[in-house]
Amino acid sequence: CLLLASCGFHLRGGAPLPEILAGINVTAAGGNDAPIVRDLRERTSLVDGKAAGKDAPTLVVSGTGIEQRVASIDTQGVAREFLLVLNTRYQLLAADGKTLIPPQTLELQRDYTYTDNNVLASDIQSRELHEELYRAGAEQILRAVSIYQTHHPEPQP
Amino acid sequence: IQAHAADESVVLYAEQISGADPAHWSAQGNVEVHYQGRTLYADQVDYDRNDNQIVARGNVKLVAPGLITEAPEARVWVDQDRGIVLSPRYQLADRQAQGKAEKAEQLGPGEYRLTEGDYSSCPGPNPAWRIQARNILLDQKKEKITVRSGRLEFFSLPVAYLPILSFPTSDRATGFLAPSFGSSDINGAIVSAPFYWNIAPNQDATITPRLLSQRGVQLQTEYRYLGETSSGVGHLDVLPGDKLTGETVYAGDLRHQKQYGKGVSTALDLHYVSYPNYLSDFGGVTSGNLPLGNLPYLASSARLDYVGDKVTAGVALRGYQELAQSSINPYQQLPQAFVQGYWPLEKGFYGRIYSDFNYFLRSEGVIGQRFHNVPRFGWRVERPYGSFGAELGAYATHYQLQRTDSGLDHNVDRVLPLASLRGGLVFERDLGRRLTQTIEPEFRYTYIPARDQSDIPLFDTDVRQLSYPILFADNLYAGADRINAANRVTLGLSSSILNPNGRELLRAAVGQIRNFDDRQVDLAGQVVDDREQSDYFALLRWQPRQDLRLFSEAQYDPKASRMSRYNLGAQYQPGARRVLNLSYRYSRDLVDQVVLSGQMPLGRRWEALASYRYSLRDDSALEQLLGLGYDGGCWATRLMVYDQIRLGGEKNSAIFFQILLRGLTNLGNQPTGVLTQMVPGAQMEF
Repeated sequence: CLLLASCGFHLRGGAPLPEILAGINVTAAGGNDAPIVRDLRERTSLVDGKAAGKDAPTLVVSGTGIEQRVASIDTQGVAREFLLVLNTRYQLLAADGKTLIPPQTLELQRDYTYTDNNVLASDIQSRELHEELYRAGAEQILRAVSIYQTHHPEPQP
Repeated sequence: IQAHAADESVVLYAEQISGADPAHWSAQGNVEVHYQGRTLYADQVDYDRNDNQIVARGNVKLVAPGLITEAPEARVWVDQDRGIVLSPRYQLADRQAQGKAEKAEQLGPGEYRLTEGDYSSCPGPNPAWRIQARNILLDQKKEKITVRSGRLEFFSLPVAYLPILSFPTSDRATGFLAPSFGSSDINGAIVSAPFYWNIAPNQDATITPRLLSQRGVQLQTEYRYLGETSSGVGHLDVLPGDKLTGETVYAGDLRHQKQYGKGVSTALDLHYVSYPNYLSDFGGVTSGNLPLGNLPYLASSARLDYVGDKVTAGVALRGYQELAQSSINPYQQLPQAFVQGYWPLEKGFYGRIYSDFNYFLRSEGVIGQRFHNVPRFGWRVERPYGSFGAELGAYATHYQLQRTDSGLDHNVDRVLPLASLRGGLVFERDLGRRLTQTIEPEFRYTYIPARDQSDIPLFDTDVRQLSYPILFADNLYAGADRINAANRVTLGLSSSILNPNGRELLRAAVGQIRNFDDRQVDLAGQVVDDREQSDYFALLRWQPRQDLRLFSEAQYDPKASRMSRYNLGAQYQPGARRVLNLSYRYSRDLVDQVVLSGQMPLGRRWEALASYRYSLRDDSALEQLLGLGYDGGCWATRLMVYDQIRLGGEKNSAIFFQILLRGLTNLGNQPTGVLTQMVPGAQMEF
């Protein structure tokens, strides 16, 4: 850690992530946003119904979609690698509707190779990468919110 | 001076009004008549109250809802929605369409007939295109125009004879869409004339007859609907008696989803093509909505899903149609059912379970049922400076097999314990300019004992492609028929630069798996000696400027001192409709190719689009697309030249050309999916 400290790094302080988010509503704008919202709630253990107060800010996730693109093909014309591209938007709104974090877009991508041994395994890789992308998207949104909270601490009552 | 008719339904302004007889008025000089929501302007107007008739002369201008007519002379019956205008010029106000005629008559409310008239959406006296016809019928209620005995002129050249043609005057109205013309090596000359049918506000269909000179006549249909809780789209294409294959070729797909509330939903996702190269031959830029031709397989499923706060579950029927090779026929999952749950307990403890059941079927070879369960119990603590977790679990799998090779059991049980530890720390520093940089070391230790699994067939399992986040997985096989042996640690180091909104401007990570044991389970299921350390896996995501994004991934083999995999993607998007993409991908012994693609305007009216894929490994160009668009205001055109490889390696070149006459043909739902596949970030205006 000496080396890190000499470069100005220190262990991150502040409130634990779940506590930061404990008071936040997380909502999905549409059906396609549900997987990311599920991961956000699971990640912050909000699932046990620790309902946020009326004055709590709301994290809105919208426009989530994963597009599959052919990343490479072989001389037989067969797609060899696929790219999965996740696009989603999020914003943090105060209870009075004021924007705390303006709408942010997020794009993440993963790829996988099709190896004609087993079509089902290719499909499983694709589906698992979908799940992984949702998790990674949720992770990045949480990180954004925690950075925001560190930089804009709530005024103490 | 102002005059009113008895019932005040007609109001008249003029410089001078004369006429002793109350039944006959004559008005001169800047006459303005208001009646039935219309206004008539003229130099002179005679009004006969007995038959409610107005005769207007000199600079007559009639302003009716949606229609402005100018003529030297007009005669209207104010209470009957009837009138006759001689030598009019007219304008459809909300359509930016205009024209002239020898005679125009109003036949009823919103219904007009032009005799020896023309129609165009281009401004000015010499329109780029126009329709000239003996008869033009405008029906404002049905939002359509019908032309009889007419011809279409393009830059004053007659290009089509139109014995009868109807076209819509609103964007979502039933009618023909822009036709397209083309040619490809496989299909010969192609003419498509899509017809759009606006069934209801939430339903529509597009029916496209296509004439393919080397194949026959194909009918493509698309149906879309949108409900409050459901939506769907389906396609069915049929080409009876295909001249190339000698049989009827067809393809269909159906995607439907419905939400029932409380997290319950159903989805259908079905695809079928009658021969493997159907998508190559009929998809691409020459037709919309089909997936790209180089897909190795098509997956279909019918699903019932539940997404709850703690539990997710689903039942699905899954089938696969293999296109790239037909020697091995893939298993169908009839059905596949799964449940997964996550229950947080006190003090950071939690329980988690994943279970699935599969019945794998195919016409030959071993088939069977698999019941696979992965319960886990864990503890996790999370602090801003880091996290730590431990997990204990088990893989418990039961197989009931049929048609096994001789000597192999029909019932197989496999139970393997799983233990893991993971942790990480988060260091951060202030970079100034309100930027934060983090450095995050993390590790995961995994233990799973080795067990010979050669008595288990491979239904859905293959080696998983590794990359940075996947390194931390328990099982490096995709599919449950193989569970890897593990006594290993995965080490990772990542770093991010974040702006005050928490947006990641940069992320870099590198990781490696280190094995402590030499016993591994290979894909055949045998326990083998292998103690190699894994490659190094790295990723970089960087957005140095708002309009520039870079993405790179690498897999480095330290023993051989060479790259196993490497890819680089860059996207530069300096504005709307301007994008440049570069992609380089390398995978040792498999892929070494570069793709350049982009879109940019050329001047005010032209637009160019291109994509070029080149294989360095084979020293040959694989796919190319060049598109040119021209927007002339009331008309636009698009030209695409396209080189592709059919499954099997045969080249196919295609050219595709489309003319859009605005106000006459809409584009409908144009296939932009293929374009954004080939040129990510491209937006086509028409």
